Amino acid sequence: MKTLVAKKRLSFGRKFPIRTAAAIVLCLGIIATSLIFAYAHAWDEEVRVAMHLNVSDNARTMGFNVGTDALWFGRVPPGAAGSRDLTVANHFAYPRDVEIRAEGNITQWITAAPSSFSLNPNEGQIVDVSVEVPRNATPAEYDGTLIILFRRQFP
Amino acid sequence: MTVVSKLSLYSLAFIALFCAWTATLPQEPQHTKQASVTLFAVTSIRFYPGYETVFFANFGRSGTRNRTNDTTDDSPLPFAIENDGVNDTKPGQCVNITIAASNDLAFADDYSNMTICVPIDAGGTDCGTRRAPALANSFYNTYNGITSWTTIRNGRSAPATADIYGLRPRNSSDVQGGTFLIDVNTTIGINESIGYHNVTLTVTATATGNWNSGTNICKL
Repeated sequence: MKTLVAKKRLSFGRKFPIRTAAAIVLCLGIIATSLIFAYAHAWDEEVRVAMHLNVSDNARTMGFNVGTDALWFGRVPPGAAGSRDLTVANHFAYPRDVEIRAEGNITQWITAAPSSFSLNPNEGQIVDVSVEVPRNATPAEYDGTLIILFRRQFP
Repeated sequence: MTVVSKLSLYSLAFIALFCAWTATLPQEPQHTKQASVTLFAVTSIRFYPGYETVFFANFGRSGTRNRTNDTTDDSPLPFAIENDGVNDTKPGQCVNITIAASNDLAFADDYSNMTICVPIDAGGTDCGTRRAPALANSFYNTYNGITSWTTIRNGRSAPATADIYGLRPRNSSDVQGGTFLIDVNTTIGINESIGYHNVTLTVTATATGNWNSGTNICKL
């Protein structure tokens, strides 16, 4: 009789025993924690900038393209390097983390310095994007995309 | 009664969860602008030592005079610079060119130096008479860049830079415009140290305005 009373007190009813409730709360907690963790670490904005490179067939001929609608590296001979600068700015009222990646067929030749940094509100950072053309590169047109990722910085 | 209590509990729980969720929503940015990425209208090309770019061969030290070699006889070949970037939808930009030598060319003899020159037909440059020079119309103004051999590395002193102004853009129907050669000369003093002497040349183009092919004017 005492046992039955105790069980009755520790449950919300036959259809909602305490173990089930605890499991649900635990699951909800895990889901909520995962969501918060994912939210805090997810990149919430990305800017994509096209990159173009023309590997010259002449070791001493270089061609410049100073257009600002993309990262034009111009005509770069094999063994040489081209570079462009850009400014990344944060216009939000809170600090943001920034990470820079590259994709496309020139990814392995691309270096961004710095490639990972933080920006305070209304702060900017100059990034040097370089392409090192290997000596054995085939003269051709190469393309890629520079991806600049942003996320809110959490304390 | 039991049903009402349960509903109340569920409602309270829902309200509590809703409040908790809304309380943790991120704040809206105070600025309507988001992150911005701005590209500079400047681009550089670097030539590293050790590559076949310009190799001035071996200089013997047994002589009593300084040794000199240059690219004006196409051996080795000079550098060629083009201002690309014109296409059917947008005009090209005029650029200024800056040439710089890195610090790693450390001569031991004060008489050793590296100089450059731009051969141009209307400029009367020292290096312009020995072979086909650049056309004067490669530049949107009267050529006012390097008109004689200009030192970019001299003995043990710090390297200097050389500027070439107002190179207009080159387009597909314009084979020779917007392009020029850079001749390089090197002189090795009789007391220069034995071994390889290399330099990294960096050529930088900076936009100075949009080219108008109708008026032949470059406007900022």
